Amino acid sequence: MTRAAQQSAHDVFFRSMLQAALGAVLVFSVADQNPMYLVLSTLAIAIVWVFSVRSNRPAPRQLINTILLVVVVIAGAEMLRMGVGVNAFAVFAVLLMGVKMLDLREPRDDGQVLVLTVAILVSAVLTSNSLMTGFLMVGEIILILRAVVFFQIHAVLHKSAPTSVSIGKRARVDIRSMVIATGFLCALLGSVIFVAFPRNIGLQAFGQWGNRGSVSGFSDTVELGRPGTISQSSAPVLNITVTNRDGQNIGKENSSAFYLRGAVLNTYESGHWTHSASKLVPLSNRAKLYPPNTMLKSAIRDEAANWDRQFAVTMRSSENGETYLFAPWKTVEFRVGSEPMHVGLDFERGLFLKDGIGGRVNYSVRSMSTLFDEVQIDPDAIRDPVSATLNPEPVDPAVSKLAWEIMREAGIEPDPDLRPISDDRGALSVIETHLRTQYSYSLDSQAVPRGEDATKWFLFTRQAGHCEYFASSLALMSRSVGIPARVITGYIASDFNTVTGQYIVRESNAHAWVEAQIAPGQWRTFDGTPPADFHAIHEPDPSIWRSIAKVYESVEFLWVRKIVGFDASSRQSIMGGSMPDLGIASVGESLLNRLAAGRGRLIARGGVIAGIVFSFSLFVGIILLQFRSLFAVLIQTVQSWSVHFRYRLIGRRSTMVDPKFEKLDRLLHRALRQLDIPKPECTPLKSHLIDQHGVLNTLNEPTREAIFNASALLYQFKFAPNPQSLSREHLSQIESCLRRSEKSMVRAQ
Amino acid sequence: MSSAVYQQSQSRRGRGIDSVDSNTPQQAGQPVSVLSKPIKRESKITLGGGVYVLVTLFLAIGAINSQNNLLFWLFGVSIATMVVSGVFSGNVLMQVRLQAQGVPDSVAGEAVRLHYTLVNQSRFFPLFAAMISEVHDEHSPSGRFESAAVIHLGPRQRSRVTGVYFGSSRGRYQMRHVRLSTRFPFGLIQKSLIFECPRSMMILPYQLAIKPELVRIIHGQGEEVHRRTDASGVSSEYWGLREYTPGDPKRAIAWKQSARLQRLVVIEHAQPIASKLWVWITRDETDPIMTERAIALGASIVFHSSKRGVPVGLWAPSMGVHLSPGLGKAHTMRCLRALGMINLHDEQYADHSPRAANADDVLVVQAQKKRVTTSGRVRMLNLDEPSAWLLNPDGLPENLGGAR
Repeated sequence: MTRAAQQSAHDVFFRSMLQAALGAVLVFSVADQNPMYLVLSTLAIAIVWVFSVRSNRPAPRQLINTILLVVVVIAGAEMLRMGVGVNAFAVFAVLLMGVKMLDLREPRDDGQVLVLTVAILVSAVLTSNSLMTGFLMVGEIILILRAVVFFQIHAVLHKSAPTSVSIGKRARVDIRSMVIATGFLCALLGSVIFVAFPRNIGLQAFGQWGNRGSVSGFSDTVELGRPGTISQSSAPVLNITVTNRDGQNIGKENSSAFYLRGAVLNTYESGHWTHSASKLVPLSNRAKLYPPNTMLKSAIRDEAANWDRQFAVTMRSSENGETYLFAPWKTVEFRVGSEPMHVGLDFERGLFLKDGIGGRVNYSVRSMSTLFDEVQIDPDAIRDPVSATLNPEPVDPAVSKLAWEIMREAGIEPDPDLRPISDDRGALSVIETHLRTQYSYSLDSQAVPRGEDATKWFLFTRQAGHCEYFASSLALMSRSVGIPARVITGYIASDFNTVTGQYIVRESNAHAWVEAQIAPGQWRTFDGTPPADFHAIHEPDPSIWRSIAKVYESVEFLWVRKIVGFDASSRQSIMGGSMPDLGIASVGESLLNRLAAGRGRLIARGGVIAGIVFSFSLFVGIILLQFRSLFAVLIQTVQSWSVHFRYRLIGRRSTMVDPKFEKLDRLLHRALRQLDIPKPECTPLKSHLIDQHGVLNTLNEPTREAIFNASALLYQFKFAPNPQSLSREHLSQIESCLRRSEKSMVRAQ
Repeated sequence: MSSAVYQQSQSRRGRGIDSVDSNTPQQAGQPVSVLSKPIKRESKITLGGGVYVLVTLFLAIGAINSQNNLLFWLFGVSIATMVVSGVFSGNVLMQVRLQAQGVPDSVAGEAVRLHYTLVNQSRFFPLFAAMISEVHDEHSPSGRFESAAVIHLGPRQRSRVTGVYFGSSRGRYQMRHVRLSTRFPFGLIQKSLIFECPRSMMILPYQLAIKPELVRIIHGQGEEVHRRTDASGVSSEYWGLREYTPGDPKRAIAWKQSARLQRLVVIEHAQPIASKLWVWITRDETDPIMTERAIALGASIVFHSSKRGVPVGLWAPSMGVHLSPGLGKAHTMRCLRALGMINLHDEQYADHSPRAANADDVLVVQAQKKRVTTSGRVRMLNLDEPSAWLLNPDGLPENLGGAR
């Protein structure tokens, strides 16, 4: 038989365990988008593998305990840094797995490595639900199943009599078939359970688990002058389908971009754009819970009726709590997705989800085109003044002067009092063009010198920056010439996937632009960022890889829509109305919803805290067990000292240093004292009693029997190979013998 | 009373001699049963299975709490794994048949191999990672049993596997049932089949590594051997030369004489005089450990004496054993089995010195403190001092009051 056909079962198991462990770390690295976990873990596991596992030489206990303490310290530091969350737990599990691999002595240790592997896999799933995570998860499950199967063989061989440990070719074929068959059955049955399990019950009954969702790349404030770089990640954030009134998809490649508004920022102070607090009731307090598929229309009915585009938006990873709902300008209708939503709605200031649960969110908005030509500007209309409250600091004179000069050069009156309102649109275009042509786009942000206004520094010193500088400059210059303007942060949608018929918005598509008022109530979008530079940096290159990536993204969207986004309505559509849930769903819903809100939530959280405390205690217990030999020595020493001390107090020396000995000795001694038989110092007790047969023969039969039995048992105990192994029953037997002898003696007296 | 009459009288009283004679050793390795079907099936959740259930519960709570669909799927797979595990292991064991082989006599503390034949009559399902162990009951021997492992038994395959048993107590035991258990494939549930395979097992007393000079000194009273002139033997005394025959050890060749005689000759030694030795074992009813120690030491002396060609007899009237001195493997085994069959829970009989004590050497292995009345060539062994008769006093077995 060839060498390959005669692989040792232990070797096969260790290899499969290693593959499963590395696979779990890989899945977590992909989920967390942090390759360092994989690199460092692979390095650590490789070292452990070469020096410990392969050579079958577990590290010394002291070394393992020391490393374990270091791991606990590192994990504690990580928890302080990242907070108590999935990431910190996963880091701890990975480190613990490395330590455990150094300590593979029994099959139990191997099993613990597999349990840690599962824990890392669950952490990965809690971290991300991306297609790659799911794909790798399926592969990892197969690896784990395989490792567990070999673990059974490994454990059986370890526990049983020495025998041949090789796995023949036929056995390997059978194992492979079995793993495939069981894996397939598990996946099939698991999928059935996945579909049949009720949804939307007990959401966050036990608080927030896993990472909070985040809309990456986007920020609802603008802080100019902050060094660093803008995100260039191509991770998808939104999927958008754009249709016209007839329901036809109007998206196409290389079309003009859609600006998707997120935060509306109207207050500028010290380089920061923020949203001013409303004098009225804050929008967040006006958020209401709307049932699924509710259509919310603009207050101006005419506008609502004039929609011409519908955006069906899938937000892949919304934030937990308040999260912005991105929509184009000018939104006139909003339709709630398939889940009820607690939506804050102001068609001008934007939309947001007040009590988001994180994860995928679906909604759709209808908007109307805001073409400049359609605006009929009344020449006699009075321009809205620039609110002083929105500019706590007046626009820097240099910035203002620059705006005036630009307008004068273009032949437009810069003074708002003299300029007709119909020229405002032209004035904005002039400034926009100036910014686009005279300044360059750069992702590299540098720190603004202390005390200097960031926008002024951009305009006159740096003359290069990212979109926030351009938007801030355009807005401030517009305000300096009397035109109300505000900065908008959100995303640009321009990447159209022809396979899915959707626009894909990525993290790198986060953008900032300006909305300015070209007529009373007429806000239009202006973007001072050089479009060529922006697209050159943010748009993916049209290479073959891009085409492949698009196919992948199509599959990923399918994954997000069908698997990650599987919800109650999807379940209903698959199972129909004939699903026999036997009332379990309604009872569960009632119970878990009570848990989620109200007193039950406190109890549940109390339970979680109790679980954490229990786990921590368990962990401390494990640590103590690791050092148990040291603790046992300490305890034994203390007990010996106490016995010696007590005997010293009563003026006698003792050879009984074991507490069990001491107790038995005390009982027997008390019995013998009543017989005036001195306790021997060196002679074995039983021999000593035989020598004292003269005294013992004077006793009645039961007493003598009891004394002899007790001494015989004690004798056995003293000469037992391992006194610690004396059972509790045995001890109680000795004690009862001695007590019986005492009673007999009392009766005899 | 002759020894035969004594044995008969003892056997009528239900003592061990009768059992010794009637217990002819069964043929080791021979099947004692046909392929048997299981008489009972058992299932239990393992510790790992319990942990797994907790993890599954945790997954369910996590999935419900976060509505994370991948967690829902993982939860579904977890449940499915439990179901598949149960179904698979049940089907695998459905068509397995087992046959246990006879057990040879063994010595306490030493390994004896137990052989089993396993047949998988299933057409489709292979058997993996199974263990075969003996089911313990009140008739079972105490000791350590290392299960027989079955890594893989394909459909329609037959396999012979071996377990190891280290008996710790001498005696005759019955092994009735054999358990075949597996946790395959995922270790969540342990499923077992109980087969009825009645067998008997004889565990002889411990063979202690006694000092080699013990027998020699006591028997020979300090001399090496008594030379015997009419036959060659195995003593160290020179007896004569003879021509080399194939099979003679090379060490026996007398090279100088062979060179001188121009042909190969070998040295023959004198045969030691096989005067009789009685091993007299006394009993201490209050101290079973000491009695066990005496039995083990007696058995060891019998074994080593027989090996040295000394006719040895057993004398333990307090325990109902009397075997006249004899030689040969069969006699040695008879002695050892007699000692192995002693039941300390039985009635104690009166002790008295062997009738032949005046003529033969008597070695008293005395468990009780009270000194026996001896005369003639009697030597006493003090059981409280293992260093006096053991090569390694620390090597005294645990059951005999040793440190391991």
